[in-house]
Amino acid sequence: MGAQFLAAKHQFDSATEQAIIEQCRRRDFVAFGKLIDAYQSRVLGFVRRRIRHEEEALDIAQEVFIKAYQAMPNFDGRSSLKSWLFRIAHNLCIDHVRKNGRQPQTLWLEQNDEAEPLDFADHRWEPESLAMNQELVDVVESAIESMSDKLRTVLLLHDREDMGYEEIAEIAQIPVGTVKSRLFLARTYLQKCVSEYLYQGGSK
Amino acid sequence: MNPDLFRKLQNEEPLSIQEMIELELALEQQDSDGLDQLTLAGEDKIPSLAWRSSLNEKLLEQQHVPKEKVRYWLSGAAAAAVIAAVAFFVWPSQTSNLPQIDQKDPIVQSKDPSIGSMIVDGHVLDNVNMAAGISVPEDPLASDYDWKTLETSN
Repeated sequence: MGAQFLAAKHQFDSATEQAIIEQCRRRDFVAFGKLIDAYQSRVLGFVRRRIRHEEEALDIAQEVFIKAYQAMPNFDGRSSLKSWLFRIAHNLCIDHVRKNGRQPQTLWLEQNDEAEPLDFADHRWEPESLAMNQELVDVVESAIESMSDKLRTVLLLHDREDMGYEEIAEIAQIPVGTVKSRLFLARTYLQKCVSEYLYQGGSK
Repeated sequence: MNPDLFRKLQNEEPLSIQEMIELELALEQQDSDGLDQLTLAGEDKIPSLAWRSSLNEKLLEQQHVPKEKVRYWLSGAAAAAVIAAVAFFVWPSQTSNLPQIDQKDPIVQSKDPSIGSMIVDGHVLDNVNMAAGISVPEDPLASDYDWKTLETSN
């Protein structure tokens, strides 16, 4: 595992976050730097998975923090800082797709009842093993890339960013029930892709 | 999961309470199967130092924008204040250089509509206008008149 993968996933505790928010509201550049340190990898990861063009994704990730810096004095703290940042990122991704005239990909899943159930006792399913098996990681990333943006958004926010249904509903501006149905479909699609790799072809 | 519910999920149709419960159970099953862990497989890379440096530069520009705006408005306000001060202090001194009209002067006070008083009034008005920088329109007939011929005719 290269050094570039050692992403900082630290998150502030509530008190520290409040203190940093207060400092950022007063346009404290150093405090905002701490905020960037804490969230840059996650925001960029989220944007990269939404916008597959690397340079565009890097620009959008910068734009997220610039927008946040501009809007920080008006941040009311009703949502968490993370949720607020990801809402900005989500909106910028949506705007980018609209500006570039890319049609949202639609994904029609067939029900996966006949698919072979995954053996989760298999050692390859251990998160550590997954990280080490780059081929499997690529299959997962490829599956995330190929699903529709609306499924991908919910999947990433819930399973990767550990956000709740209500939080995601607020970010994506959709009902909570829709968040749940999209999450279910996204996971079902992911399962289908991985099971095809494990049991039909790529498994070694 | 029954096919009808699956179709409803794909079409994002409204669900009955029973179907909502079935969806909740299906999500819990996915959690217990470890499917929620799959997306954690790929790590997020730390952005490059060049990216961060570029972001810092853009943020610094943002930080300077309000100051520049304030400076712009302050310079505008300062210029307006200077103009107002000049107008206040210089204008009265200029007007004080104008020939003062003696209101007690019997000629000025005169309401006599005779030609003499009209000439005097006009002369006084011309002097005031010239002192104020207002040029008196030149009489085209006066400039064309050859005064030498007048002298020789005498």
